[in-house]
Amino acid sequence: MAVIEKEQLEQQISEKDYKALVLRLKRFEFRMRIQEMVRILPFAFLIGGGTSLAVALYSRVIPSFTVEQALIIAESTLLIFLVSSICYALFRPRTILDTAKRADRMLGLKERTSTALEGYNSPKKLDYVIMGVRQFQDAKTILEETKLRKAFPLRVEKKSGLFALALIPLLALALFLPNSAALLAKENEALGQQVDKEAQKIEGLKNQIKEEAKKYNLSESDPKLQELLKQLDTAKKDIQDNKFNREQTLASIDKANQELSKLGDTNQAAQKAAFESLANDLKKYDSTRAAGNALSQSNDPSRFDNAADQLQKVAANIDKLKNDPAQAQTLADSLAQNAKNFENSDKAMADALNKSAQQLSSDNLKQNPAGAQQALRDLANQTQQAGKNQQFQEQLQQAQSQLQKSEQAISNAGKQNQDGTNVNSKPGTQAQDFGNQEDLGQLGDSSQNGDTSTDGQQQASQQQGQEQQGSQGNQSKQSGNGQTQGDGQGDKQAVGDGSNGQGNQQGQGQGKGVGQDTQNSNQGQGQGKGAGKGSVDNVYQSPTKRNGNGTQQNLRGKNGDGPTQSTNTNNGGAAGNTQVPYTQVIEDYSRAASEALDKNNVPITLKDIIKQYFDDLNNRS
Amino acid sequence: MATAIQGTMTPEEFREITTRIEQEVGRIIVGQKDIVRYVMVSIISGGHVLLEGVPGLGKTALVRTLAEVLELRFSRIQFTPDLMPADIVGTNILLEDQHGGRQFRFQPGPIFANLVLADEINRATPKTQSALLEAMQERTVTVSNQTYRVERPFFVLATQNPIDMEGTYPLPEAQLDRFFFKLQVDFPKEEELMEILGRTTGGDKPKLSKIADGQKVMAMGELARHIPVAPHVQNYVARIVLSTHPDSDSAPAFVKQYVRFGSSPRGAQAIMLSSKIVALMDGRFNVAFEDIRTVAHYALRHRLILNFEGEAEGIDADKVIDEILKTVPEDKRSK
Repeated sequence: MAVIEKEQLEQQISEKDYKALVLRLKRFEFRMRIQEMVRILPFAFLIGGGTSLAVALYSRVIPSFTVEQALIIAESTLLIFLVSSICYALFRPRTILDTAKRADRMLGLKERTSTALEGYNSPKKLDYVIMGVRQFQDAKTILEETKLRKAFPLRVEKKSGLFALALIPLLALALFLPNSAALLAKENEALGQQVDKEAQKIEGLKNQIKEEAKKYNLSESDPKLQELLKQLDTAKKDIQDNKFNREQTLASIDKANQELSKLGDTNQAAQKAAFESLANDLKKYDSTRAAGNALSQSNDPSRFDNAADQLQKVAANIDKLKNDPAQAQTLADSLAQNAKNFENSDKAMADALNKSAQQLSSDNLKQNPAGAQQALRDLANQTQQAGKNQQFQEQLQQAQSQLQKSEQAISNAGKQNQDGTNVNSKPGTQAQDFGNQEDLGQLGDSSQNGDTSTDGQQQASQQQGQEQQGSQGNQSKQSGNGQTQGDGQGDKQAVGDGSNGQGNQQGQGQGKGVGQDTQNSNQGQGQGKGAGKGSVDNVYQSPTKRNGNGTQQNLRGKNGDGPTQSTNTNNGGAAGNTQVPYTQVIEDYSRAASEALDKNNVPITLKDIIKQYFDDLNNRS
Repeated sequence: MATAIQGTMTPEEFREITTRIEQEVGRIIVGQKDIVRYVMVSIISGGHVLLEGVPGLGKTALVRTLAEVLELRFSRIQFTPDLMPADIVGTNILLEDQHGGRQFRFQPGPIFANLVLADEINRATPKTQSALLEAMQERTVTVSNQTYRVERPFFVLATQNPIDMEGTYPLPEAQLDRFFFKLQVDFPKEEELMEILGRTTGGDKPKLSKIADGQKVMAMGELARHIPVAPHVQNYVARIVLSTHPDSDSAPAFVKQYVRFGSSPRGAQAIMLSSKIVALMDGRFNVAFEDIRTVAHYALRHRLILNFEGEAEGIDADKVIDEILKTVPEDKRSK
């Protein structure tokens, strides 16, 4: 007969025994977590890999991700699932009692350890005083006898492991097999980035226009200025809304450009030329030289204000002119002549000039110097007013120019040529770009002084380029890689006189290239002549087609002598390069165009236009 | 101050006795090991057993053998429609002494034994059946306002025949609830039947040894009650019993569809106590989920009352219990 004492029981289950039991359970816990990690890792890999595979397949069907993006998504997904499962297995909070229950369940210990823990901690609740010692020892013994490695083997489940392994080549194939949708996605990405960049530029321009308006006392509430800012805003918003749709983006820019064109002053170029002429004339006379100098500072936006100030000073010192009747008369004649220049572009300015000319004539000046003074003041005011208009027009030009650049950049963004290189980054083509559109426009303006607008030759540059194309090395091959390199120089000149405007611009480009046909491992080199491609289109431009803004218009020539204007551009190359006559360039280009047309490289619909274009050029030369 | 718990049995002794009882009963009863084991569990726990099975499966022989092995007083009552309560509990009879004086003296009925076999209990009238109620629950018998205590241990083993139900009186729910276990005696298998034939039709009659007595049986019961049960294991029992109630939130859809009334708390008590005994018999000192699942059918099947739909579709209580065991998780907070 056994008599069991509670105190005896308590003494028998010492704290040391309990700690030993807990320590053993903690070892079990660590091993169980490792085992769980090993068990769930293949599943995590399957889920992560499956998701990645789905993304990769999706990107093959729908142009959503580039290969790089799909790879990043796949890697991230896999990593997330693997790390999550490792964290879940290793760091999921679990009490020692939970561990005991888990050990009971996994090892079939029939609740021995959990009962021992609960019994030790709540002996009264479990009536643990009678059978407690035996139960505790039973649990402790069975735990000590359990071999950890045998009880919790670290084995990957065969089925899930095989599936996970099978997923790797599938994923690799889905990611790295040639994928047209991914290329398209890349193009879209480049397009989106370009659109963002252009939107930023437009925003920058908008702010710049606002600042300049403040700086030069242009009223912000001016409806034209408001409209300009509004159109820029709209353009920016529209291109951002359709950032992955090239056609719609370009259409938005076109639309904005058209709206801006409505704000443009068609006489602005003529007015500008007239001011330049006026500036030159004013510089000839001592009394108005300062005003002429101020007005001729073409890069100074405040030149009109300065010129107006100077004219005010001339008015204030009218006595000087009064004392020099010869100079006054010559000045009056010159002003009268200049008034004619403004007749078509700025009637108010023409009137002010005429009035000043009249008041400064020798007779009137003597009799009524105050009238001459007032006339000069009016002229100053009118100059200031015209300056504001010029200022706005310049801003408008800036905006249009920016939109055109954006249009071009977006148009080319992400486009791949046959070599797989970006159109914009082709080195040989950049070398062939001579001059820019703004220069062309200004040169075109000078033609108004000739008899007809077409008399002014405003071809901005002549280009001659030589290209060695990879395809020429072995033209029978279906595909080839070509690299072109080139350098070039350009020189533009335009001269106009009263009756006939003349312009002469010359440019030269040279290109070299090495071609390699990767398909048949053949290498070939060849030389060919042909029209080089430039990132800036419209290199050749008819004066009848574009004005200084680059917008389309027909210019009217004017009979009589006109000022001579000569502009040298700074984008020429080093001295000593060969200069090729314009006629020869036209000939070369015409031949290259004909060859291209024969090779069916040009869409049928454009063939006639190209042919007509070169025919026109030939006729003019 | 030390709390002294008087114990008369060690776990090892407990296990040895139960093993020997099973072996000894096995010399007479062929097969039916589960029946033998769980009848023994009932006896140790002090509960009563309702044995259901067709005639001739050795029910009476089992009880008689157990009585012999345990050295307990055995009586058998054959329930018939004309059986009166007095035939069970006993009656006062008039006695005349030597001097001519007359007095009533209580003549105990067959209920006054340690092991009572109530054979075909469903054939007696409810009135007679209910005569068993007080004795089974209170362990007392009252005749003519005089209460008599029945001898401990007291164990009623009732049998009923599931076929030939004509003229029978199914036991009322209240009485059914008083049975600790309801065991179903299955027909023996081929080998077992051959063994039965060999044993019962031969000349040798094995002589049974007495393994224990009433005191030891009660000590075994006392020891088993001190087996610790972890709270989450106890909670499992509670959740199982609650799930038998169609009105309970935790009841599975199957229970809601087919059960009219669930188990009483006596069902939970029966599960718990019998699980403790099973654990000890298994050599453990704590109750496991497995013990609970083992005894759940025996403790609950007579405590579930199916509704009309359940009856009509031939659903039996065991199927409901199976569903509950499948549905109720062992540890609702397991990580």
